[in-house]
Amino acid sequence: MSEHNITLNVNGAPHDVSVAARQTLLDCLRDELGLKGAHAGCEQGVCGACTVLLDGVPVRSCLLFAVMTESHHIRTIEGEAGADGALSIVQDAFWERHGLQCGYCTPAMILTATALLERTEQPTDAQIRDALSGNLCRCTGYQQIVEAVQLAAERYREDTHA
Amino acid sequence: MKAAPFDYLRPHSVDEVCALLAQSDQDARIIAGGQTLVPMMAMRILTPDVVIDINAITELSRIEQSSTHLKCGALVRQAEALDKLATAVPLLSAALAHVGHPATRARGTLVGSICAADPSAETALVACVLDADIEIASATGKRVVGAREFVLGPLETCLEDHEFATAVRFPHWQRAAGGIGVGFEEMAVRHGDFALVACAAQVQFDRAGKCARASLGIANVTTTPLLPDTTRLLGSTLTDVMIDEFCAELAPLMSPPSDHVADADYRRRIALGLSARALTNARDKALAQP
Repeated sequence: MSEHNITLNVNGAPHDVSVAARQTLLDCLRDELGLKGAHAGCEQGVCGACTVLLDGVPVRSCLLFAVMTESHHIRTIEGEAGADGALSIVQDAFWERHGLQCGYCTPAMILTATALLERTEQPTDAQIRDALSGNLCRCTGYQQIVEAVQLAAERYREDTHA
Repeated sequence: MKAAPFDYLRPHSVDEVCALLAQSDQDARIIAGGQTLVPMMAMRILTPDVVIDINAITELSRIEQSSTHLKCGALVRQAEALDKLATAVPLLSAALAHVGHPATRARGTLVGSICAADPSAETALVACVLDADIEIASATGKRVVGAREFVLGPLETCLEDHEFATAVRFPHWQRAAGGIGVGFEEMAVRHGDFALVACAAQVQFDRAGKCARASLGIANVTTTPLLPDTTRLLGSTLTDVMIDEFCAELAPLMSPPSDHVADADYRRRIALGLSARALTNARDKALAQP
């Protein structure tokens, strides 16, 4: 069964890996690249815990074979904070509004919210909930997640209009 | 929850795919979005020897308008169709809002969803309701099959082993003949999850306010979409009473599944209610057209 030497572009840097065809992007990120932020929940595409950004768009890393993702830009949660460790706007808003408890859904929630805010300047409450609808959370009841995204949206507006 | 080993191939043309399918006696599967295929492989319901990735075949990403139909290649993503086809194929756009979630629509394709032929699939339902055509290619040539003949049963299509579906074509209803309206209703445990029941309706009214054309489909009450004959609705004003009577008579045609989520009787009751709502909304939108 086929093995492939591929170069993945992850958080702006190239990574050479050797993967079996059947190895998902999720498993490749976690096991070959040591990036443990993407989480395995259902491994069926339903829960959203594995969500990463592919060319700026949220996708299920459990439903992509790593070998398919060579020519794309992959962003994981590990790439969101600044080089100096400063939290991104969305990360900071999640901290401030307590948009997480156990943290299992959180990297995926943050990336999904970030993708939303990068393309929609003033998302309505309905748009936020719709954008996050594919990400399950068992702890928070979602309300504080939505408030975190609303706060982040405000700060994005201030940031771009500053 | 890991796929069994397989060989991965990434051809660059439709002809190459056809050649690969023809020469191999191994079990080969096409992967486009993978949103249906990969979960099935992860659960080992499917264990293909070969997976053929068509994502490099750029011509399959095209959306082409003609005077008679709108054609979407096999790589047209559900997200793109949801965004771009609200005017051209409104029933499809309405249905796609219920298909999965943004992250699955980013990769999932229209053609892939139709080929999966899940009994609850919204895309396959709409393709049947609109009498879409599926374009099929193989090493021996091309053919076109209507959606109603394409979808044969749960997870089963008319595709032979050496064939692959390259596009879906949605025929236009000619707007000059009168106002067109669509209605789409679905019940699911969570918005975006598999539908317990889904109903899709499209109607057209002539200038005299009479129903000139009507198409209705219900998913997940039979193994392929239930597509009742709507002839007796034509020429009428499609009153609420007529709609309720028409939908009530669909009950004996249904044999919905029972599972841990809902039993057959519940699904039947929902199907009757939602199909009436879908027809009513379609009628109201059609009549509201200038």
